[in-house]
Amino acid sequence: MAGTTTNYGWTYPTSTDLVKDGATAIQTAVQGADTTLFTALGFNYPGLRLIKKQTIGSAVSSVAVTSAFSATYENYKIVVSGGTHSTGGIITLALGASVTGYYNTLVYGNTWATPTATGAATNNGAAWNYAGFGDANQQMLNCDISSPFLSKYTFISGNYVSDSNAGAVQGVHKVATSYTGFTLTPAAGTMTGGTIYVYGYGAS
Amino acid sequence: MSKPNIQIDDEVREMTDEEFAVYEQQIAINSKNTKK
Repeated sequence: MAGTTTNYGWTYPTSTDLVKDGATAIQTAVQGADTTLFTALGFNYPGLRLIKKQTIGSAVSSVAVTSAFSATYENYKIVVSGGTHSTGGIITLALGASVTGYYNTLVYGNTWATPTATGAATNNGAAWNYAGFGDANQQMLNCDISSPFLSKYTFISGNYVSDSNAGAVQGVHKVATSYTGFTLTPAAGTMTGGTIYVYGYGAS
Repeated sequence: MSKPNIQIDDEVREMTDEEFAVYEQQIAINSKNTKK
C-alpha cells in the first residue's frame, strides 16, 4: 500500500507493491515534487538563473558563446571574472554575427586620485566597446543585456572597471533582429582563462 | 600565415577567413579605443 511523505504528501510505493506498477509510481512521485517546487519557486523561472558557464581557453582572440538567449528569458546578465589578457585593454561585446549598429557611452572618473567625469563612446561601431576590461592581473565584465532574443533593438547597461579608473556603460544596438549568442573580443591581444557566466532574469 | 584563435563555446580553433575579416573589422575600430 502506497504511503505519502510527511511534509508535502507526495505519494510513494512500498516494498510490497507490484514491480509492474513501478513506472506509474515513479511518475506520481515526480509529479508531486514538480508541483510543489513549481508553487514554491513562484512558477516558471523566478530570480536569476545561471544559463551558461563558459571557461575561456588559452590565448584566444575572441570567445563566442552560443545558445545563451532564448524565449525563456527576456533580460540577461553577463559576468566575466578571472583569467588574464596578454595586452591590457577593453573587452568588446557583439551580438550574434552583427558587426554594425552599436552605440554606447562610457562615463568614467578618469583617475583614482582626483576623478573628473570623462566620456568615451561607440558611435555605430562593430561591437560595444568598454563592455569590460582585462590585463595581466584580471578580467572584468558585468552588464545587463535587455531583450536580445526579441526582434527589437537590444540594450546594454553595465559597469567598467580598469586598473586605473571606473565608470558606467550604457548603450543600444540599433538592429531589430533576434540573437541567441554573443562574442567577447579584447581590443588587443588575447584572453586566457577566466569564466563567462550568463544569467537569465526570471520572467514570472 | 596563421590566423588568431577563436573560441566557440568549448571549441578553440584558428579563425576562418570570414571570422578573421570580422575580427579585423572590430580591431580596426577598437584600435581607436584604447584603455580608459
